Amino acid sequence: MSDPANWSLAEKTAFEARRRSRNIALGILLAALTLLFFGVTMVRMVPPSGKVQAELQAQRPGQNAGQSSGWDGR
Amino acid sequence: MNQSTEMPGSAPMTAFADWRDYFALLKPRVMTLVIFTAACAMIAAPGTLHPFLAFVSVLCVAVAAGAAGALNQWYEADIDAVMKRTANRPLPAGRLAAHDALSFGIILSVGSVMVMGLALNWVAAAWLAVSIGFYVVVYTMWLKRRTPQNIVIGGAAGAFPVLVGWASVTGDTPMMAWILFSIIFLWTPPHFWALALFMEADYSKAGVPMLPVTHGLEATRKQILGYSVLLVLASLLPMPLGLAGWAYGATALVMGVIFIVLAWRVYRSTATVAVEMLPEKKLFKFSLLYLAFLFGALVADVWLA
Repeated sequence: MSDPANWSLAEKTAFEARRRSRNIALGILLAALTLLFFGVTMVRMVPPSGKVQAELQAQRPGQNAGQSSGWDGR
Repeated sequence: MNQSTEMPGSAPMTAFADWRDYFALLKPRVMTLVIFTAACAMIAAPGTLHPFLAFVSVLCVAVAAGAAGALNQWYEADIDAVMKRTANRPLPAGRLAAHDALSFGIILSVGSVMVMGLALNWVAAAWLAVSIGFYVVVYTMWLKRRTPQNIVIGGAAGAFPVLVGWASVTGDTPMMAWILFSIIFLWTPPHFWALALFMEADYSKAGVPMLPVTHGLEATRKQILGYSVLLVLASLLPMPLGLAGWAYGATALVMGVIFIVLAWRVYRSTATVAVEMLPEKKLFKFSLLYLAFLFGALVADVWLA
């Protein structure tokens, strides 16, 4: 790789512009990942309302009230 | 393998890669088909899934497909460089270094499988890992340059997302999921061989053993017809098994008849130059519509039920 000290002014400007755009994209990606993990955590840990819970139980006849293994995030 | 482009006394081009080059590595156009089929399978699968988890599942499938695409481009930079259609991709054009593309592909592969496992279930995550491994190792590295049946094998790689989508909801892969898998698997050869017929010169130049290059145009046309018949039979299978409704059945029948008629025209075609290959171009375009309608009907069936 050539020494950045030998780059022309136009090359330096172009490199810095590209580096800035890469860093902004990376920042957006990290923020999106944070939101994604927060969302997954909320959905999997917070139990749904009673109505939704009843519908889900009805779809799983093997899991009656006595055998309930708790909310599994679905 | 790709080398970074460097002019004496000037900056290497790879120093100027920006986010668009990384995005191009993901083959976003290929991704749309994978997202569509996986999402349709999720809707068709029995059971419910929280909308946010459904979004995460589709996102993981998309990222995994992109990661496989990046690893494919990393391995195939030499072929891409000699094909007109692919010569301007970031690696052959020298805008991105090979090791950067490799790291990018590996990180996205591992990340998508882990998120799928943690957010949805490990059956879906396992199928996602299999799909990436199959596409990169079995298809790209092992068989693509060794056999003219490479497209058939590649078809399996493209069909795995359906299993992932189904398993995201149910945690398993029953008969209907495998029928959907076989539809995409059997759809791929007529779709890509129709393209390969009128792009034959490009593949020949790159030395990829595509069927039209190795076995000629007539043999390819015969195989297109054969796979088209198998495809239509597979698409009708859910009806006698009672796994789909009338919307799907009617669509599969009508679109299947048109597909076979177009494949028959390709079979009867004697064109040898790309500009005269109108039946091949028609079949290629219709095959895209066919898959969209078939999976759209599958979703319509669920909503009509």
